[in-house]
Amino acid sequence: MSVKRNRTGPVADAGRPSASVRSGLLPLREEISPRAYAVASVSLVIVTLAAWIFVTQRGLVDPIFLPGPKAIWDAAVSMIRDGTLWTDMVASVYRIMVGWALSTIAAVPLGLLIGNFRLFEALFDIPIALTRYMPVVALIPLTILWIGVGDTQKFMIIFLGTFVQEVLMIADNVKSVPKDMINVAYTFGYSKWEVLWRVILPYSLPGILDTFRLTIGWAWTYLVVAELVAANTGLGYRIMAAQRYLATDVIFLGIVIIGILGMITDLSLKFLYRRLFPWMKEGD
Amino acid sequence: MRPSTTAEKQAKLEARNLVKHFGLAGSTVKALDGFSLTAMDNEFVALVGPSGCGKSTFLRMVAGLTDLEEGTILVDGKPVSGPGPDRGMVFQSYTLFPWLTVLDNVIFPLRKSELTSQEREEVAMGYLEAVGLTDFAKAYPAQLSGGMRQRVAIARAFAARPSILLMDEPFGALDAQTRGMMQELLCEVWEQHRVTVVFVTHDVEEAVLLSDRIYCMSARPGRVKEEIPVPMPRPRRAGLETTSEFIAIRKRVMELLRSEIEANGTPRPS
Ligand SMILES: Nc1ncnc2c1ncn2[C@@H]1O[C@H](COP(=O)(O)OP(=O)(O)OP(=O)(O)O)[C@@H](O)[C@H]1O
Ligand SMILES: [Mg+2]
Repeated sequence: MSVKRNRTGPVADAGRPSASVRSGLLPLREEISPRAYAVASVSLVIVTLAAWIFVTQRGLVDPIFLPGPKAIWDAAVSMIRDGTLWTDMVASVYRIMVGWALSTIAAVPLGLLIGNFRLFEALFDIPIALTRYMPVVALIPLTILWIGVGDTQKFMIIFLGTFVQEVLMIADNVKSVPKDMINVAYTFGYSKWEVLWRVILPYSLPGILDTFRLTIGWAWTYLVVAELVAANTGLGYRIMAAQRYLATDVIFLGIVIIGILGMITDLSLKFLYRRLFPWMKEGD
Repeated sequence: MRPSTTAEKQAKLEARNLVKHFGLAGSTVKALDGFSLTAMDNEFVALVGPSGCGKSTFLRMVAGLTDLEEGTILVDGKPVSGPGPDRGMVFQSYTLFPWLTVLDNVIFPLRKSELTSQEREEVAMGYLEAVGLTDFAKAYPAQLSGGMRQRVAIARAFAARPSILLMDEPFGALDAQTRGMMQELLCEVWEQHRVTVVFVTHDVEEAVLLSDRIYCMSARPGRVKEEIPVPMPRPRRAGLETTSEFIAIRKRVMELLRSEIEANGTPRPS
């Protein structure tokens, strides 16, 4: 009955697939052993790093195209020494925070209105349909014409890039509340505003936090594009400036730092999610 | 056919000649047509009928969640207008609030009362005890099994102290064994905390076991086809299913249902 060589789980219990279906490294939609998971989760990174080190150490590619880890490390050290790395990071992070916050402050109330009230859905239906696939990157020249190349223009690009989608996603988060959950609160004598506050909002908060996590990711993309086109500081600007001097190591450093900052934001929001919504975790 | 005049005097819930249409993709569906039902104070009434005959529609109308079209619904002689705490509902789907603990779910309807927070907790714990879930007061709904969740939903519905409790196939999603336990439990809780119940079910045995009266409905458009009293003594205990009285009533209800389904050729689940 039970498969002895299977180390990943106990003997099949009622309601779960039998051990033979769950064993091995590729069970369909089932857990694998924590060790296999840990190994798999770092292996691609390690292989990529190893290939990179191998290729650059052997001098198989011109360092102008692909610098080695040492060159990037040196670039980092010198940029930390002269303070540019810090000012660039602060400039970019500041723009992200303000741009994304502006978008969110506007998107949350509007998303709540559209998700909860048909009238608002109807009001914004056509405007949203017209603007949601607007190519924001193509608006960069126009925004520069309007308000120059300062921080405000960066806020504006981030806002234009995230706002409409954020509104739609928050409206969807709100609409995910099951109708009967709302009805049951009505039968307890709750008014519609109380239902909004005590049922719809708490139910949709986890989804809204996830929306935040995704939109911050987009904000990064739009910021870097905006900085590449026109800026005096920031990680995107640094990458662009480095290209002029063929300082490929600085380009790679910029990319790596953007990646790390994005990952830190993502992980902290995931951590916050688990902290705030312990009730979402259990059960499968 | 129509309820007698003496019955009408003390009726807790009275629905008269309800008609309801739904617009579905251009065409209209007649869900109810001349539907009438009466429930006495503290009576347990079961409602059975073929799938799609308008049982849920009727409960939603009593709860005030669906608008009336034609006919009247009186609760204590007053027409219903919108949902209110005097009419509670237990849905077939899980409607527990996932972000609240089991205890806070049961407290939820009590937040509208004048009790202090400590009193609310005591009352809620009392109902959790009645459904045997005091140990899970601090758990979240996601940590419970389907049957346990429905028990919490029942405790919560009783905690709201409605004068009419509407139950729409509350055990429909449960396996036969859990369902049997839930029926016994509901029977006990109801015998402790009397309230008028309208209980919709597909399970004829369940209807006979729990109710004082069974309303059998026709296929859509739904009307009451026959009203069958269940004059078996309470408290009802295990073993009731084998008594000749029980078997006779069950047979009668099944025949009625079968003739409706055969006449309309619509297969019914379970
Ligand atoms: N909101 C709605 N919009 C359109 N049609 C509806 C709506 N609600 C119910 N109906 C229709 O009304 C009829 C009765 O539905 P209802 O849900 O009351 O049936 P039911 O007796 O509860 O069935 P079941 O036993 O399968 O739960 C069905 O034909 C259904 O399609
Ligand atoms: Mg139904």
